[in-house]
Amino acid sequence: MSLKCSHISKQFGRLKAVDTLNFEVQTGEIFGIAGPNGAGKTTLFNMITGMYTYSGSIAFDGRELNGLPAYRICRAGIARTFQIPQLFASLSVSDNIRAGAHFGSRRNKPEAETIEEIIDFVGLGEHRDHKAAHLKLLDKKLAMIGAALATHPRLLLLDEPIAGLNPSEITQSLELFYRINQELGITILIIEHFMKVLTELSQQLLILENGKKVCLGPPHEVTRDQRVIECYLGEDHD
Amino acid sequence: MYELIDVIISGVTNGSVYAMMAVGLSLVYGVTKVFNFAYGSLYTLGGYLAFTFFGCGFGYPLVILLTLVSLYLAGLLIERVIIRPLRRREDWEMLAMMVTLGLAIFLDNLYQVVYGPYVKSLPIMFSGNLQLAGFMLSIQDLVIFGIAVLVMGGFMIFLNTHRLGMAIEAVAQDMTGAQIVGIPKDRVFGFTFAISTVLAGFGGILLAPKYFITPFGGWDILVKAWVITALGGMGSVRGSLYAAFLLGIIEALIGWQFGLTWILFAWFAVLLGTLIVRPQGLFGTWG
Repeated sequence: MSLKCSHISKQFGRLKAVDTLNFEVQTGEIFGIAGPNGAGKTTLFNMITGMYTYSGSIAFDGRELNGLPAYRICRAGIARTFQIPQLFASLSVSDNIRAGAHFGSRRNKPEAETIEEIIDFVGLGEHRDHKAAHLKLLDKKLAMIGAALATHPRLLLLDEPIAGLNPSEITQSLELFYRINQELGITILIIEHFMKVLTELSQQLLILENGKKVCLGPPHEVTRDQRVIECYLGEDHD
Repeated sequence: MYELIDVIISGVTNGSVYAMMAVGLSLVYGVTKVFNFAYGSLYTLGGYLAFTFFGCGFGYPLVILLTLVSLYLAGLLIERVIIRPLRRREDWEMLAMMVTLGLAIFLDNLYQVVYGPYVKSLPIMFSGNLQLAGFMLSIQDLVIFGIAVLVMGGFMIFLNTHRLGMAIEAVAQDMTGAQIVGIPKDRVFGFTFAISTVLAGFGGILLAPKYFITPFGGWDILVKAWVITALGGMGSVRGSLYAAFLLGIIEALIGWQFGLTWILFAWFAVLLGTLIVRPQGLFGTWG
């Protein structure tokens, strides 16, 4: 088992953003998360990565994460990306990746080697010296994934990674996610609204609504679940 | 002509110390987005600590060393005990600004109780003048200028080459992104606050032989550091450097031509002009 969330809850004032949630993510799998806006998906990511305090327990490879600050969770092997790219705008692509390797990685591998490997892996060779602020959206997302990979994670959290991309860019991104999972052996948790993408990509799919679990299981079962159709997919989904 | 150049040299000397202090204020704002209202009081703290260590019979080198170490620890303590607990709250930036204002009032009154209301001074570091190309240069001024430039140069090298300098830049640009790549935000905040306290207090040591130390004397310095950071661009260290020298020279010229009472007026006029013409400052950006 890679990640185990037990009875986790997060409340903002009177709003329960995540409500007594339980689920497990197995090592090596791609685990999809979907649900309507306000379902608590990003809040869940913020809890796992130490951005929010919460009640309950989140354990990663047996180690309790509740109470750890974000930087220590990163160093424990969990990296994430954001829907809107969070990069150091005045730094180049390679320096953004260097920041991940420099601060987030616990490995003794030479930094320069890590940076070169990752730039090649995500396909940003021609942009290595370009400032992050000047990149187009796809390249910003790739640079952010590169910085996350530079921390040498065992679990990667992707928050709506294909939002705003065109069809060919989506195809390119999905290929990269497969390669991260298959070639690097990194477990992936992915939030996405495109159900077709999630059903193709993930081995397990979790549907949330109002912070609660609606359904969890293999995608082909989840997409046929009546509660999921009612609260999220609608009757005429394909 | 000679008098004008003397005045400009004096302005550059003061500008170098202002630059050092403004860099500290700008650094804290750049990283935490909090304006530190206690900055002037930390300047005064440097003067009073040095005054206390002189009272123990120590010479300048040891006094400076002890004062800087004390300032660093004081900065760490203030951040850890007063600022950090506020960061658990969503509106912590505004709260932190109000708390630093309270801290300034507390410290100034503490100085008044401990050291009394009368001015204190530090001995001159180096007396005498140096004649160079027909100009009489105060050795004290030259030493102050040299120290301030060395401190700033060293600090810039540190920011650009050290691991911690890279972390400071990362947190200043994107706090969330920085944490996510494994940068310990709290440690960066603590270090930034401590270093900025050292820079403010070191300014207090360097200027005390010339302008004396009084319990409420830090407010003028706060205003000056504020105007410098506003003119340079809030959070821009490079902008603060240029603005400090420019305003140091303007201050010296105004004092020479119109008298010392017009100096603060000139600073406020520059602030007003900046806010009207270029509110983001020389090197600042919006957002």
